[in-house]
Amino acid sequence: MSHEDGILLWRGCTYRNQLPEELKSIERVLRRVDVAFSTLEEGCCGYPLFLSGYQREARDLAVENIDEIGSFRLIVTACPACLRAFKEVYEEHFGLSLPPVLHLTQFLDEKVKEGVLTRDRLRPVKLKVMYHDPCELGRAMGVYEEPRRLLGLVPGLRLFEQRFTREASACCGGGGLLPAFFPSLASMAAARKLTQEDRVPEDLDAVVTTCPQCILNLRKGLEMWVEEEGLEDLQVLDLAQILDMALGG
Amino acid sequence: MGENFERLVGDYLQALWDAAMDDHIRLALSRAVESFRRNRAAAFKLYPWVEEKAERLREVKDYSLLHVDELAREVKDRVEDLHGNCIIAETVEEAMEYIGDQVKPGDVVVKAKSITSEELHLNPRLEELGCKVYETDLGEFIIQNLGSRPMHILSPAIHVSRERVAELFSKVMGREFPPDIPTLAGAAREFLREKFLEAKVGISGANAIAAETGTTFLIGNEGNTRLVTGLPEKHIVIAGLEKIVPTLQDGMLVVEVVSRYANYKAPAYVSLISGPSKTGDIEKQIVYGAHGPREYHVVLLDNHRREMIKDPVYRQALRCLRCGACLYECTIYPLVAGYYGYLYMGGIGAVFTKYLIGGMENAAPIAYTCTLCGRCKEYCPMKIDVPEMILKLRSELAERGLVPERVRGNVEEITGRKLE
Repeated sequence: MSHEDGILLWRGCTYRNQLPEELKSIERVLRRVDVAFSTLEEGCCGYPLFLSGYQREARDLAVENIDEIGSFRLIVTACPACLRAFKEVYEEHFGLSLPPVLHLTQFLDEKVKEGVLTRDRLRPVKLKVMYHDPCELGRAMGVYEEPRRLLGLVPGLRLFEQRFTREASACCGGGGLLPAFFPSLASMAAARKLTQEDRVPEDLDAVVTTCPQCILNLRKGLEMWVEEEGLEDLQVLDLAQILDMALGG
Repeated sequence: MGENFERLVGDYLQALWDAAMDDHIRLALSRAVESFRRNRAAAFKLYPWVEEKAERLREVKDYSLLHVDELAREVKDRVEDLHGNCIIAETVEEAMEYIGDQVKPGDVVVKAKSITSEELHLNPRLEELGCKVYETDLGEFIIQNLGSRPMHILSPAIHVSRERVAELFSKVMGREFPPDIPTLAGAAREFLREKFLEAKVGISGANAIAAETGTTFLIGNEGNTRLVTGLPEKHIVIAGLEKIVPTLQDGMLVVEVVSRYANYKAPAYVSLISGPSKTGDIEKQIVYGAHGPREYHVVLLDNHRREMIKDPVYRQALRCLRCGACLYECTIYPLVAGYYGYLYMGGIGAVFTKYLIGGMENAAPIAYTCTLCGRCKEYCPMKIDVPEMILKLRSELAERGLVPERVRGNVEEITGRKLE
């Protein structure tokens, strides 16, 4: 089977297993901008193996995956960990060659530049949101502007700028496999980030981000640690969910 | 090994959890983080070229690490030429034996802050030799009396709120103190004044050592460093080999950069010490021990530092100036203070734990606590890439079967692979 002209949407374990609604939004947004894409019976990208120190095993998995994904023209993923696995671990550490890989926000930003995704296609989303830079997407992969440009396109959206953004942004605590090693501490870090580092205002409707690990950990942080901060109604949304709303749900 | 290792990890996690649940720690840390940021911003505003200087210093430090053997010999030659003593101690034991020879039972020893001295377990060992040891840095004094361990490399008592300090001082000094910071600082001053005068030996660390003159640079704010290095008969400097830089100018560069990144516009004191006190005022005959120490000893500590230098990834950790900026911007440290560490803290602490004190088993839980977010690197004057080092360390831990069960199990579950 040849995929030479095709686009692969690599969904990633976290979206597939834990964030089905967010995944639906991702797929819907791609369809709405008329992108034909395939999906696979995916396994793990190997990033958790790499992060935990099992480099040999990560390499084995990478070699297996290459067979499956190597023939596509382009790989798009909404998971920064998978993105980094492909671009940094597969290519730089293991010397494997891959088709181009883009984060969903990079891909959609191109659609904006191509004139496919335009402001007049978007309905107002009347929310006050804050964009959280995932460490894996921002500091690690240098993707800061694309998510902001996409949010800037949505009519009605008001953006709250927190104290620390981009290179200086505060980690949510969900990285490095800390949620596996010490889940309560990881979620506590999320709460501290929102209340003490970002100082989110009470009228903020949603924290928007572009990483499934951040979504899970930030939600857990709000659920477990911020009863008294007046943030009971604060939502954590995937950027794709905002676009999905704007494109008509 | 597996069971003991898991117990060690369990104890570490328990300590982390207790710290995370401690309201005093949270309060003290959140005050400290914000105050640090305000002060640092003010220092950077006044001296905007500090980042450029940090970049220059980075090159100096890298050069110095790669030439550490010849620079250490140069230090030794220069110090001895100026009637001081210098030893390049390969091991902790060697260093301790040398220091032990400089003290007598019954000696009062005053110390200025030195985290390197903790690698030697200096205080308990001096006490075994019959010495009475006093930490004179206010933070260290608090820690010593609490029977706790330093919780920040620069501000060791950072996790202790003023309320707890007042309680502690009331106990130690036998009278009541209000939780008022100036009053508490005054009480420590009064208590320690006589110890300085009684002391036979003063022990300090070093912020830098300039090879060309064998000069020790010591930065201080409280003034205790001047008394420790000036009043007793003997002054012993304990410094890791990575503190050596080639020239006096390089030493000043260290002073400038580390101070600003450590949130000071200018430290109150910078001491440059190149030998014992001396006078030639009578017939130009030089005699040693005028008003200051008669003896000056420099202990240059290797303790696996040369091994670290040989590794291009871990080498960068030895650029560390100990400004502590990384800890304030860390995701985890502000929640639990130095419990996220062994002696050295934070992600970089895992690397020091592997090499300098504690070993691989103690380094493991620290390495798996780091979220690999990389924010510390952004704020580090030496641009030390902590995530890069932690990933390398984790791969070595996996090789040795030192991945905590919780992590291994989770990765097995995600990937469907059985891991050893």
